Amino acid sequence: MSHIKKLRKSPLIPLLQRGNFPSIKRGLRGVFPSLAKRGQGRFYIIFPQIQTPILLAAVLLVFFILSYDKAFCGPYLNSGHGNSTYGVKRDVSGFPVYATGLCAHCHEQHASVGGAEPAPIGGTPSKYLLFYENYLSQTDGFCFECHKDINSYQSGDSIVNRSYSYRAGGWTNDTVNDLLEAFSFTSPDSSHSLDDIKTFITGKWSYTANSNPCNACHNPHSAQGDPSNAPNSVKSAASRGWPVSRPSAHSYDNNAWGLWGNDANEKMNNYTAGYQSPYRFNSIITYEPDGSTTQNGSNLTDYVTFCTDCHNDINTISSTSLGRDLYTFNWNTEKHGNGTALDGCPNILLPYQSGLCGNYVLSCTDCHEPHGSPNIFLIRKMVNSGEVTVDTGIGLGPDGRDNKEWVYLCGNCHDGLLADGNHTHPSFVPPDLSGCSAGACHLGGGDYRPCGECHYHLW
Amino acid sequence: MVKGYITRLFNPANPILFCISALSILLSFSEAQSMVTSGNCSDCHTMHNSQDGEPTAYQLNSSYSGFEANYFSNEFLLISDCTGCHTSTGNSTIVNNVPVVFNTGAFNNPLAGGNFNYVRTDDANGHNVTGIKQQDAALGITPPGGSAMSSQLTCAGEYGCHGNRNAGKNDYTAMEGAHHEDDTAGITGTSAGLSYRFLKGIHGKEDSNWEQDNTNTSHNEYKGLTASSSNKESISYLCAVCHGNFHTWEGGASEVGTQSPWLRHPTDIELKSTDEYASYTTYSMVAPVARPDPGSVADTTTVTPGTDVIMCLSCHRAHASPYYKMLRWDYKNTDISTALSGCNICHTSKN
Repeated sequence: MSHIKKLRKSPLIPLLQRGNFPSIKRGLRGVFPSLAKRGQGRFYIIFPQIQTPILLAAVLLVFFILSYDKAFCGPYLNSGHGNSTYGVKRDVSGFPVYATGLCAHCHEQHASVGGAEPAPIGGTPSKYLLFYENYLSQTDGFCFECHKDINSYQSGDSIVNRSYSYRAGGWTNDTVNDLLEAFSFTSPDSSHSLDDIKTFITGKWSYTANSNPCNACHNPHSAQGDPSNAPNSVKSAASRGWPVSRPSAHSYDNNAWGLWGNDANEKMNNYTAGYQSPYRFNSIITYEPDGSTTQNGSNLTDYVTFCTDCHNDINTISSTSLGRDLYTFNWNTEKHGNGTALDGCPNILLPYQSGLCGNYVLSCTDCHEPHGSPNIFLIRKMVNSGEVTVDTGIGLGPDGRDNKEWVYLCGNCHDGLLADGNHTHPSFVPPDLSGCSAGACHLGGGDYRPCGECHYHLW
Repeated sequence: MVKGYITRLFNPANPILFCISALSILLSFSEAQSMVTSGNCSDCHTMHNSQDGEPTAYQLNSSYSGFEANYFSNEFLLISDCTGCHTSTGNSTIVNNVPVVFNTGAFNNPLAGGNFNYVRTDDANGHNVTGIKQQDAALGITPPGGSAMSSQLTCAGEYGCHGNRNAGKNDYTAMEGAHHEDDTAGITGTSAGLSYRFLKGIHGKEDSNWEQDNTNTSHNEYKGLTASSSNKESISYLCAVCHGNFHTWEGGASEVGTQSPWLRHPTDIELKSTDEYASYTTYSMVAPVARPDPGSVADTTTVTPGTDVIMCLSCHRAHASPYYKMLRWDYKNTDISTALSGCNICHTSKN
């Protein structure tokens, strides 16, 4: 015990006990299984014969060994594309056997290798030295040459990328399994319009007309899989990666345009103290995004800050599919954002609690898919444990009544939206003044107006 | 009479005499022969290709393992050809102040251009120069990024790099007088002898030991140009004579582009002074840069982004390297960090 006491005086041990170096703990247990064990939440070194300096030296050695890779890896080698095990690997006839992750898998320095152009053969060199045109359309561009589940140029002929509902929500029923498929949804389904993104970002934040709209959200030289290298798995605390970079930070310096969400000050709990993680699918004990019991957003990227780089009350974003500009909003005053819910929320569903209403702030990803969805407005197919189908917004609701289709979404958090739900009017909408019977809210005959006529981000 | 004597010496019908004679020839050429402009004439020339009844001229043998007597006189009374003088069977890469570009066996400290030894083992590692390696099995006589030639690459002349490339197909003619020219007044490019490494028209500053010591405190300074013009003085332009589609200004807008986004990796373009490129400030022997004025570089150890120039030799060796595609580092290494190590000299944030 005296040795343990001495060890506890070491400046390293408190760090270990606080969990600052989980890899050291794992390493010690792995390298010297008899040397270390966990006990009641503390990390004890048990080996009475060993002297403190020797142990410290061993700890430092293990630390060096474990940190060696990280210390010499920059953002690219830590990215999904640059990973030496599962990174980019073009596998076509005639293409040299390069290390996985090497730049040549995407960039052809001379638009040829050994005097010939490896597949895909375009005949002319492509911008940014890419092996295919950087961007052509919503479903045709460089990224999709690999990010598809069949005929991919990536070794194995396939790259699986699951939806947010699948990965964060645990909704493994989702059959959407690649990015090309996600971006192929067309009206009445929806996908993030790459043409519109391209139009919007051109001229902003050092993006040009040659920029790939995928790069509005992703730094291809830094982005990580989330979960990392587990495309058919849901996220777990151990498999997290960080896929996005803020468009407003865009830079051609890979160090300057870092990942967003990987640092503690880039989490949802840093944006707001009012974040409550929704449940995972069919669960009341595990939460998004990683299936843990963490509920305060400390494990979730601050997607509000991320998304509002573009989607805010300043930018005008034209939507080709909607035929209009997107509604602008200020998440700092939005009811689902930092704004206070004036009408309260007496019928809120778990894990949200009525007593905390007015404090809750949602993340964009609580309701929206980032890439595409078989619902309108990129609405997720699974929200707060429940499945969602919103094909038109004016279809039948769960109670079979017209125009109540949105209840499939809203009803996963708000109770009382059905016919027998005793829907409570907001205090600032006196029912008589609005003339429910006259059709301002209700169309008469028992039908409601479509929820979306009044409820959208402006509120 | 002399001819008759030599014939007897090397008459295979007299095997003992033949072996003794051949051995004496081989031993006498076990190291590269002296080739200096200030040396004795006989270091390079032979009046009659005969000394004591034996031929003085020599050449690489057909198996590239050493030298053999050359019974036929060379032009300009030379005792050997390019490869004969610049090849060594020893392990040194500078012999009697002659730069060795081809060591037939193991060697140390290859020079700036690399060593043709590497192309002997793999076509992809170097230029297939006549006299050292037969034509490239995959490429034939069509240089990547260029048009098919009508003859295999040679050291000098119309199908070569050195000497006057407009002086016909003959190595000797292309190099005529080059070794004798005094370039102490400077590299002007006006003749082969007054050009960087006898590459007629090309400018640069020659390191006295051909970068054998491989240090950034003393190294070649290559000429780079950064605009489309009639200036043909850059080292990359020389490459573009054959590999034109790979050169920014020779390939032009349709092949390389003239600004970002590039279609191919640019050469003869300033290393940007912004973003990740601004961090390349210490001259790297792995991925060196060219200079707009190589004759007046104040500090050879530094790189100035925004001024210094990306060139073909930033990535490639001119002659041959131990690596795929003559690269200066092992781009094909299975370890990704090693494979990227050269790229990361300039692309400092892609590590």
